[in-house]
Amino acid sequence: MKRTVSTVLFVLLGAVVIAAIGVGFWSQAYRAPAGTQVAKSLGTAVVNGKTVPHVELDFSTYPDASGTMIGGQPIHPGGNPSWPAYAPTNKFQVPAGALVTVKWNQYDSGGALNNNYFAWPHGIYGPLVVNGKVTDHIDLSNVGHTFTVRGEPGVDSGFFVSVASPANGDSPTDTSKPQTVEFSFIAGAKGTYAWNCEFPCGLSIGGFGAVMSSYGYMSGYLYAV
Amino acid sequence: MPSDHDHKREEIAEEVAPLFEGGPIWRRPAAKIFVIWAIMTAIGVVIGVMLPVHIFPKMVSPQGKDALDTVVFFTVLAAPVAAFVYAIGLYSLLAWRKMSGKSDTPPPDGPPHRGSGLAEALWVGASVVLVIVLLIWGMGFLASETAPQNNVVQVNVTGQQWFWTYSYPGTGVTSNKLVLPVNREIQFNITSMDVTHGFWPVELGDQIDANPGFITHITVEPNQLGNFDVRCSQLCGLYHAYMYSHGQVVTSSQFATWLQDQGASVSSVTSYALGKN
Repeated sequence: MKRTVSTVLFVLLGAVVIAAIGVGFWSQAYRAPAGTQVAKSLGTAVVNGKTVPHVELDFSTYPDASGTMIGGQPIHPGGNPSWPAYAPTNKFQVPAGALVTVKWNQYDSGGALNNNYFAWPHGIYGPLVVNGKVTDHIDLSNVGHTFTVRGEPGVDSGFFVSVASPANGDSPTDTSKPQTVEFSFIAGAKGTYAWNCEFPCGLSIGGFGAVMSSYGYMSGYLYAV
Repeated sequence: MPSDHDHKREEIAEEVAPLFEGGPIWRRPAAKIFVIWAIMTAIGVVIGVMLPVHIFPKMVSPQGKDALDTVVFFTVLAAPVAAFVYAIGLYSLLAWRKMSGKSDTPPPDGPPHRGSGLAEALWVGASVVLVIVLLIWGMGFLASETAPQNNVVQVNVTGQQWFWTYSYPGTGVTSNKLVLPVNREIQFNITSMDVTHGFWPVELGDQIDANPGFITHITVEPNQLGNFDVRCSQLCGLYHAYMYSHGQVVTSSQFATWLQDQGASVSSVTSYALGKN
């Protein structure tokens, strides 16, 4: 009897320890504060002779995640308020194969890229419009962030979109003076695509520590449904 | 004064036949272990020969084929060694398991084998031979992968968190897509901008680290048209799992056209395609 009781207690103790570990991980898990942004419909568009849905994504990049520039609500509650961040969210949903127009307000400062490849737009459909003017690339030495989305094997492996935004060094906290970037791309096949910023805006080796190595601020997912 | 417990152990010990003694040869433990070893070796060899080709992706270069052959060869050579360990373990589990009607007391250990020159010579000799064969095979394989060649197509590969960039020297072309001509030797010159990455063009059957401040080389010769994946094989940070790019093996004319579509001049493409870069 004593042995049975000991065994049961031991198993229960193990279960409690495992549950505690699970609760610990769960409490530390990243939660997108603003959920997923479902792209706004703009009707349809004809792309390469084919009529496809036309949608719009709107996001901004801020010099910090404190939320003071957007009414005070932290962009990543419980996170580091001094790190730059994409807002309102880092998760976007678009129809598969749709023409997606992105309107991006960039408030953060920046600097030089460590790979000039990212100064040029890749995988876009139509022109890149920066501050109302069509351009073929961003100043290599004055980049704010990049929005770089890649395909994966089994999920439209050839899909790739990368666009940089100019730094907003003069007025990074002035909400009336963002650097505006507008471009379009054709969404890939159904699936989940990871995106991240390829401008080294973090700390440590290559500028890819801190914010760049913490999920959510400078990275996220694009869902094609 | 021996206890009852000691008497029980001695009784059980009498039931356990010495390794190389006791009755007809097929009933001796060594013979049974040998049979188990032979069966498990055969299973291991069959798995080594049959399984890798189904686990590996379809290889599109001789180097990939060599890598696959190496896995098969190493697995086949390892099979008897692994089988020996498992055979003894399996026999021990079966022969000395608790059986109904028998005492709970485990039998004592058998007498230790000491000072067997033959056993030691066999053990050390077989291990040395196996390791030397594997070493020679592996060194030869690595040498063929990294040997500098003449008139090869050079491709500079740069890894960074979490991206691969490919540049084609002399053409001014840089791309995130790795396009290669078929039936040409390609020398990859690989480095990293930040941390250590692992350049792994999967279906080409090769991989090597990309180290910051250092250039590593591998040579492959894709011999089939088609697509392949490039992965990072070194855990390199948050988006390591997404450090992927798309590769394609095309004909020489398609390769030249692709380079020109990327902005390369005709003369630079001609020179590049001849390996004069």
